[in-house]
Amino acid sequence: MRKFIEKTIKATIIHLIVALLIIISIMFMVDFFFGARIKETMILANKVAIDVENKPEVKEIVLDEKNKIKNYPEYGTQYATIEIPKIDVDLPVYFGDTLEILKKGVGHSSGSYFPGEGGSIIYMGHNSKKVFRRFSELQKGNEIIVKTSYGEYKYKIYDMQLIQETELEKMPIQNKEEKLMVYTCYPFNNIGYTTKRYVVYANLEK
Amino acid sequence: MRIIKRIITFILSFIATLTILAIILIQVFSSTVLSKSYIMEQFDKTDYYNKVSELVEQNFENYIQQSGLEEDVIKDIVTKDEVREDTNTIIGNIYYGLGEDISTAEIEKKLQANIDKSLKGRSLSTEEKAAIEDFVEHIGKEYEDTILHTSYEKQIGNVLKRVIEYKDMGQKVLVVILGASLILMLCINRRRVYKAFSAIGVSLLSSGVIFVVINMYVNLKVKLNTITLLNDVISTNIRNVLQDVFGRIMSYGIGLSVVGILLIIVSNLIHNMKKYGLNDEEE
Repeated sequence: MRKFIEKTIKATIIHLIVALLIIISIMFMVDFFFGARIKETMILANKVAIDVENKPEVKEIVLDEKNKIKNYPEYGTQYATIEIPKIDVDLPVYFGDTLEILKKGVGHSSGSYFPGEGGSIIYMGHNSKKVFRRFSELQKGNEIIVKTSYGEYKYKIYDMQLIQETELEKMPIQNKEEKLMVYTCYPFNNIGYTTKRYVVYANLEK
Repeated sequence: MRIIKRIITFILSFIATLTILAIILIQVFSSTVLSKSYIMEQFDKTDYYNKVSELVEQNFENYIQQSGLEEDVIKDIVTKDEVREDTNTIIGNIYYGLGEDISTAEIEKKLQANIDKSLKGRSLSTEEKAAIEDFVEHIGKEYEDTILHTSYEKQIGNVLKRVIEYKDMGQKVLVVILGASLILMLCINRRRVYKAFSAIGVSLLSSGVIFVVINMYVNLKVKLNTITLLNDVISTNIRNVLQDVFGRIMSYGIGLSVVGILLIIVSNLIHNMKKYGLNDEEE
């Protein structure tokens, strides 16, 4: 009985070793012939494997005592909301001004300052019903509220102007006084592309 | 002579392992990614057509924001049935190289009718009329892009057609090679048939372990459930198909390993039982 068991175990182990030899040989063959291609495929697959759950931690935006922002929001992310009670606007504000961003809400021109920093803030949005179609109803003295994670800012409209898209000097970037400039395409019910922009200028109230 | 027999049996085991691997891989791919009906089944499972219809509408909304037209004009211009029909056409082009075109004429007609209704009574300038024409054309193009109608369908179709043809021929050749290897193993070891069965067990075990290793390697290197391509609807289907393919490979791997080990142990047990008996009585 003992010999029977011993011989059976020995024979089985020998066969397992043979199997291992075959496995290792095939692995080497595969690596030799297709190794580079497999690695390329893995790299490619990893490029399209987006781990949503383990996204890098987003640092909180902070405004320090010198009115300087720490941890600016990532380009394309929402960092605020804009409310214009007079025309029932309550929309998300994204950092950036690409068409993709404007599809989602209001864009923040990346060359301009952030609310609270004490400079020119430039926002833009489409002239569609969901965004700024009713801009013509705005008047001097109306309120614009921008709510961010680091504070709430109230602005009062002091001027409205119709400009050409190339007249950038009419929306100057400066850091002496906090001014909010919000613009949209004009005419408000225009179909297709237009070169005119309707700009609303507002001063920081609080 | 005995050593030569062992070497030949080893070589045949090696060949059998390779052919088992190839046959099963072809089988897995034939019944999944290379099968039109499997893909359509996956689309049904994930409610693909409904989700694509929603996606099409969402993408239309992006255009409407820039066009200056009323949002209502894009409502109900695409139906789920149209998406299903056009997806079938595209899949047919890919799998059978049919080269059929999808038509956006109906969508454009409905959209134009909605625009006309919305702008009733408004006189349009030449620029505005041109802008509307552009918009209608864009919407048609957007629809084609969203349901993945590409100019590469024919090329992909031709490649796939050739793969399917070679796959059938290849599978037949591999089955013949595997059969011949097994018969040769039995012939060489006709006086000790248990050795042939052990060798077959070794082949099954080796191919099974290789499948398990493939699955583990891929899952270790790539997070299949996070693969994202084109849009959410397509990504979900790609993830499902990949997980199914590797799931099947893993199942085959475990099954083959278990059968292989059992075959090795049982043939050794029977041989040694005959040779030594249970009471240490040698022949």
